[in-house]
Amino acid sequence: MNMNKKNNQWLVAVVFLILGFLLTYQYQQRQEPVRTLTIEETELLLQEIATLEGEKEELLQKNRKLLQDVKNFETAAASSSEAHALLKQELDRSRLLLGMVDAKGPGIVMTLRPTDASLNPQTFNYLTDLELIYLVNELKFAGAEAISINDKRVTIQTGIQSSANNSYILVNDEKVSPRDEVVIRAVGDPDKLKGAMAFQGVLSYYALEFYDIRFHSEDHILIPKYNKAYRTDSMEEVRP
Amino acid sequence: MIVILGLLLGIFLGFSLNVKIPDAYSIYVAVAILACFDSVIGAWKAYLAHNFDQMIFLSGFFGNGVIAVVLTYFGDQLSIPMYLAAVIVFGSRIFNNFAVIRRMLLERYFHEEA
Repeated sequence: MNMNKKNNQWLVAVVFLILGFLLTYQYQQRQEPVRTLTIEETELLLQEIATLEGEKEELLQKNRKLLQDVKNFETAAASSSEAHALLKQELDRSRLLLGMVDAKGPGIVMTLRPTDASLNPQTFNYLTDLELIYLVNELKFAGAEAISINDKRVTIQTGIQSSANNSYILVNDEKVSPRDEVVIRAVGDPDKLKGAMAFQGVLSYYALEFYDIRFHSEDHILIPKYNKAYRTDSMEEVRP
Repeated sequence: MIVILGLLLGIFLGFSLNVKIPDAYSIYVAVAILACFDSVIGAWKAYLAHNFDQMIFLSGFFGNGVIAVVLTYFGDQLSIPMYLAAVIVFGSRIFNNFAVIRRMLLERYFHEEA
């Protein structure tokens, strides 16, 4: 009887051990709760992963091709001459124009900050792709040579598009939030650019009216290079 | 005495061992805890009623736990929240058993008083 009692006490103790373990485990889990994602966030993430994977593949292929090019150039450069120097110069200029290298120079910096929505409760709107495209076009018309939106280079293959019910605007497939400050930098003749922006009515295009827009000229503006790969899947050179 | 020792050892293990059960299984742990609680309260009741049987206790403890987890698993497969069944049954049993324990304790207390 005594033996039996001792035995069952041990078993009860084991059961309590398990209970205690489970309780503390669960308690610790509660201490560091895992942030659960909403369905929309999950979808966005999945979408982003898909885009990034596609991009990665594209870049890898690009990289392979470029490495091959470098090899070819190296073999060609074995016989250097004046023609090659000219070629290099031309190449650098093309790169600069295409936005494949960082660019710097004088120009203007524009900051667009949303005003308090409660000031215009009936009419308030956030920026959409429309206003950004409009501004880029205005700047280009005023002679801007390189433009960036929140440090995303606007290139000849840049698309600007509102997404997810305008919760963000995609520039080069990267997000720009219309709810935060948007900074547009443009390299060009500062006076011309400023003049174009200060022109009567230019900055009252749709939602721009609800933004606090400031711009000033700067002597050294840095515009980062385009960090994506250019697509030439469809087009090819027409050779006479 | 040995019960409290076991409990403390379990708590200690829970804190010191850095076991990671995947988040997806957290509901299973929760259901298992409920099953444990139910068994322990049931055992307390049986102990007070002087009909505690270790085999009944142990089989109940592990059997209930397994059934609860299996139910939850099937619920997951069929996307029906079956764990609610376990939560409700174990929850109401805990209340029932506690009611019996309370009565027994009160009775004993007043019996001795009288």
